Amino acid sequence: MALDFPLSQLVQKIQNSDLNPTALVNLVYDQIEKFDQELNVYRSLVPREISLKRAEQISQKVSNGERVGKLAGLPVAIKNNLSIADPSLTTGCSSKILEGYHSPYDATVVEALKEEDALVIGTTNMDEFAMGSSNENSAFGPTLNPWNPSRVPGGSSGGSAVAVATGMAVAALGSDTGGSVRQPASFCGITGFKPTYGALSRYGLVAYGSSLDQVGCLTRTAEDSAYLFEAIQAVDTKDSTSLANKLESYEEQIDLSSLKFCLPNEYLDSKIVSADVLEATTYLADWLAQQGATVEKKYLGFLECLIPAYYVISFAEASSNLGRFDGIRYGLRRGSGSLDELYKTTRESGFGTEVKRRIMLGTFVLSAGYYDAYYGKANQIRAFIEKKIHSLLTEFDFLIGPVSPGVPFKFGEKKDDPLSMYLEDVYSVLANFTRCPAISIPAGMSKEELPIGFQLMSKPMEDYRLLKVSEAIQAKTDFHTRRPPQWPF
Amino acid sequence: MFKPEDVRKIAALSSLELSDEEVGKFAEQFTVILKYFEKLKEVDIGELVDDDDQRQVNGRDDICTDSEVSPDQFSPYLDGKFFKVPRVIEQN
Repeated sequence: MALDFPLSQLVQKIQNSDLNPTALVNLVYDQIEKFDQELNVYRSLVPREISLKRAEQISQKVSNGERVGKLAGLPVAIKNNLSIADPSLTTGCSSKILEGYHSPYDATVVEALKEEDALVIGTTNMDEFAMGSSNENSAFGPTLNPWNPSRVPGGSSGGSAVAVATGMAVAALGSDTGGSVRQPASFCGITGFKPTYGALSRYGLVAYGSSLDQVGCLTRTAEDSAYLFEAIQAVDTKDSTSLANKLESYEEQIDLSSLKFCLPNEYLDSKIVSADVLEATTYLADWLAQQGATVEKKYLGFLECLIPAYYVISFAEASSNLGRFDGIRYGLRRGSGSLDELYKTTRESGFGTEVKRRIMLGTFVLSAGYYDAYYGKANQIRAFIEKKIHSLLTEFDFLIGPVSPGVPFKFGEKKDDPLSMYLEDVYSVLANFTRCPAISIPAGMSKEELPIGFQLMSKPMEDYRLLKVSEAIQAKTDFHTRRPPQWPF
Repeated sequence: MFKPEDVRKIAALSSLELSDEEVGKFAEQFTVILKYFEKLKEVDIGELVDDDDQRQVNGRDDICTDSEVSPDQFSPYLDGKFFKVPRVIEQN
């Protein structure tokens, strides 16, 4: 089955005329036809005949002996918050306020996908404006978890994760502000990679928490994430926080026995982490030790203040970033009275509950009299944690642990308890807070047959080394080979 | 304790109009969430971080360039070159 091959091999087969890209497009669209209605993955989709035409053009290029890109013929999905200029596709952030919005330009990462001849086939469902960990905050209904449709697929890049897990795309892009690529990857049994802050351009990504947002890769394996990342990673002058230089690939052989892993004691606290996740985490940590690696447990000492500091900063940035959705220039416009009434009515009818909640809490922590106590203090704590983590990652090669405290939960279980939903991110926000790259790789199944992920995080700029170590783990384990029942076996 | 009038005040600052039901629910939830955020106040930063550690964002220079995109490509609210909005200045 072609869908089982690594991305690099698929492209190689296409380049050698061993695989016609139209066949790959048909495989993926057959999956979409069978399962998209039930699982609610795509917010907008390029019609099959148009994707087939585009695939045919690549096939022609190959026949003519012309050079094709590194992602030639790969049907790829992007999250509904990445701008794409395509008449069939919307950039609506799964929000009513941007329903039906067509971007007039491509995000830099989307431009890179197109330049490398990938076929962007659709934009995927998400928590509205990337705010959520379950996909339940989409204004158009949640995406369902393919392993068990009564469970959430994770969020906010839930649609992208399910697309890859079920073969409705061979790879996908998402965005990760506090775990939004890694947590859905973990909940759907695939690999999710959040690069160093600034490694992938944010130009054209609809902003949520600008100092935390990062575009990430959702793929079946770490090898695929590395391949996709390498193809689209570039310095971008349109993003003022883009890294000054392109990251260099890591060519050295990985010897697991020479590596030092830090497993924070707090990550094993049974008051936070579920028994299934704890078991999977310790299993892989022990496995690493059996390979000769050093695995050391250590107290971080700041987990208590990490989540509140993270949420104060992300809410503050959200309240500022979402000020632009006011019904004046684009998107939804409601109300016929004064200008003030137009703003309020548009935002009231356009935003969902979680978005309103975050905008208001962000406005509160930035308001006079509270700024220093909340936003000012949170930034000081961020500086402290960043310093501490960067020094810890000099002593150790990687920090390891769970991605999320539990397995995919049931729809509705946490929806009316925002604080318990925020605590879902307890292990994932650290990477965003400290600009570090981090990855979630599959680590087995729970007793209820639900996927569990394992997280590795490294120092900023060491993305390729992190990916290579994840590849080395996947080369010797088979957790990443499990497929949900929808997979075309 | 977050009171309904506090929620209404923040909603007005956020350009949001809330229903009474939403106001009641947010007041309850904000009380719980803000209580959780109180943990920040307990951390003694004096011992942890000095002024030099204040996080700096090292963005590049902000250089002005022409946009490749013009409003007629994305806005349904144009009147000629302008975005049409309700009257802002009262007549007379």
